[in-house]
Amino acid sequence: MLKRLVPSIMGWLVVVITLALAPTIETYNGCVTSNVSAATNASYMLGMTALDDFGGFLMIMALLVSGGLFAVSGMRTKNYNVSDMMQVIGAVIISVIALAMFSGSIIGYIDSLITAGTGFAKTAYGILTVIIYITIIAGAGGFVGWKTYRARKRSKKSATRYV
Amino acid sequence: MGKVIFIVLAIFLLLGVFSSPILDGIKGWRTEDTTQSFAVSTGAGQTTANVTLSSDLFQDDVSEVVSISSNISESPAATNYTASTKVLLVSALTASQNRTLSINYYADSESTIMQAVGPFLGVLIIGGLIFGIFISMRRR
Repeated sequence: MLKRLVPSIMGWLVVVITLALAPTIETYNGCVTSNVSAATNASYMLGMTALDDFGGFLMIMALLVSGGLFAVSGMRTKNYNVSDMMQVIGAVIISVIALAMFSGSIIGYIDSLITAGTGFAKTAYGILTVIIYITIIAGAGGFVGWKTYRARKRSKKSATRYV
Repeated sequence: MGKVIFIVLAIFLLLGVFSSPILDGIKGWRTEDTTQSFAVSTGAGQTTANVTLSSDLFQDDVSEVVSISSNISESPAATNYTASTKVLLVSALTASQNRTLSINYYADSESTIMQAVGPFLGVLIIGGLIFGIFISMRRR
């Protein structure tokens, strides 16, 4: 009976780890906000001021949903192991690192590119900022969530074949 | 019947083990650990003083003040908080003294979305996890 609980325990563990890292994500997201407003070419970074207020929140929610999906799919398919859990935890850590790199360096680099650019290039570089930011947010939960969903679907298909 | 017993047992065990770390995590997400210093003077016979915090105290609850330390020999404590003015009443001060109080407290998150969604996060996350157990058992 307890063996059936293991995937759920793993899922809950992932949620606890994500929540433990939530303040770090919020801190780095706060750095994104301050670095964007401090950038010389902040006006070119279209959409960033609207997005960065809730980007951290979206990212944490996405990671939490991934953790939840992981638990559900593990319990349903019994197709789980520690490496699956490490994958989800890895996604959390990679998101934090990506956000740290984005807030610490990438915004500055893009700011320099905008300064060096002319005409349409300035706008294009500015849009790049929001594209990278959205990619980090979507990548946080999306990738692992999608993989979990696919694994579950695959497992369902094979179960049908055997019936 | 076995399914129902399993679900109840799973919820019981998982809540027992994980509810407090999850709630702590949510609190960490909703708050900012803030430390502020105040220069406070007390007159003759005066053992209390008001200080104005820069951020809202989490849930307007005095127990969210983690610690108050003074640079003179005394043990100050937070006794009352007025949410509208962010004024914290500090008591157990030594009369007729000048000191610097260092107040460590959990401040409400500045994020507008967190202020709106924060109170429901516990129900959303724990409810979601419990719902996950039901969903996963549905077609077993």
